[in-house]
Amino acid sequence: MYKAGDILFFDPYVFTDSSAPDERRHFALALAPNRVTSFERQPMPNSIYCAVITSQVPRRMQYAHLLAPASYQCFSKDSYACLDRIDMQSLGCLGSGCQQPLDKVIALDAKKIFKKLKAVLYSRPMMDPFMRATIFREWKKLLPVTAV
Amino acid sequence: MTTKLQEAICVALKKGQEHGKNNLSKFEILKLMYLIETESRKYAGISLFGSDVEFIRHVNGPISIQVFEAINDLVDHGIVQRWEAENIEYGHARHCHKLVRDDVDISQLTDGESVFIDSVLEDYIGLNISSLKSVVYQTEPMSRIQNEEAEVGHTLLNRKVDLNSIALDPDVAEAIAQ
Repeated sequence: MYKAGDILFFDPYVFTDSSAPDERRHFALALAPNRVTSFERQPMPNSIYCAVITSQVPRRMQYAHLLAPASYQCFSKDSYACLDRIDMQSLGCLGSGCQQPLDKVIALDAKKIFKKLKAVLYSRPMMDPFMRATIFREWKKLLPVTAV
Repeated sequence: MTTKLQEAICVALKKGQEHGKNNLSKFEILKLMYLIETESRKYAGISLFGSDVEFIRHVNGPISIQVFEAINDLVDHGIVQRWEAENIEYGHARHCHKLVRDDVDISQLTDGESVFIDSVLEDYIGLNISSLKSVVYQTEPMSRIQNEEAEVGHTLLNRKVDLNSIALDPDVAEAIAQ
């Protein structure tokens, strides 16, 4: 089972937010655990909600977070989790030539990502409220416990 | 035709099996459904099962007629098997429930709802009875009832559990306010 904060590699990653079908090899950041797989569901059983990770500097940096190669061995250069480019990905498209997940976001990054995610998730009124709730719930588990 | 509540019960029974629980007791099903509903209101700000599903304060925490009926319906349709097992430690028979069909239609739940249910169950399904009870008693509506009980000096049996008293998670509230 994959969880929020896992860094995965898809071959291919299918962009669902572009007007024309677009598939490319990409890293992605899991935003929530893969859904209930006990019962097969259509149209996309066995899938996971992800934000694409790209090495190109995103246009909307306010919704992106830098994942530096110094912290993540799976990246050879600066990479950006684009939190405003969210897609449901089939786990069948996970790259098979590597151990998945490749890595997991560190606590400091998780905290910064969560702050940006909060803004992104509520800028999408059509988003399923329970998907949004799951992302909140799961992401909070990744945050460092602050002293009271 | 199943309801969201029935589908959630099936998901819980299946998840229980995946976590090494051959069956779930009536107590466990009730408390897990209660936690799904309370966490739904806390994180999504809305009810998952709908306002028709109510919980009342019973001796061992919240119970729900609608959950009982949903279980009975699943048993009547041959989807869930129920039997009683001796439970010397507890003093009463354990009402065991096991999913006996793998082809359950869970079309009533949206993708988001099924992921959310999975997220909640993942946290609580492995707990033993006393830990599960403890988590339930720490929820906002149960804390409220217990405070009232401390004032009046007795258990407020059959008191409706006020699910509307559940506050939004502070991070959710902050995000909405932005």
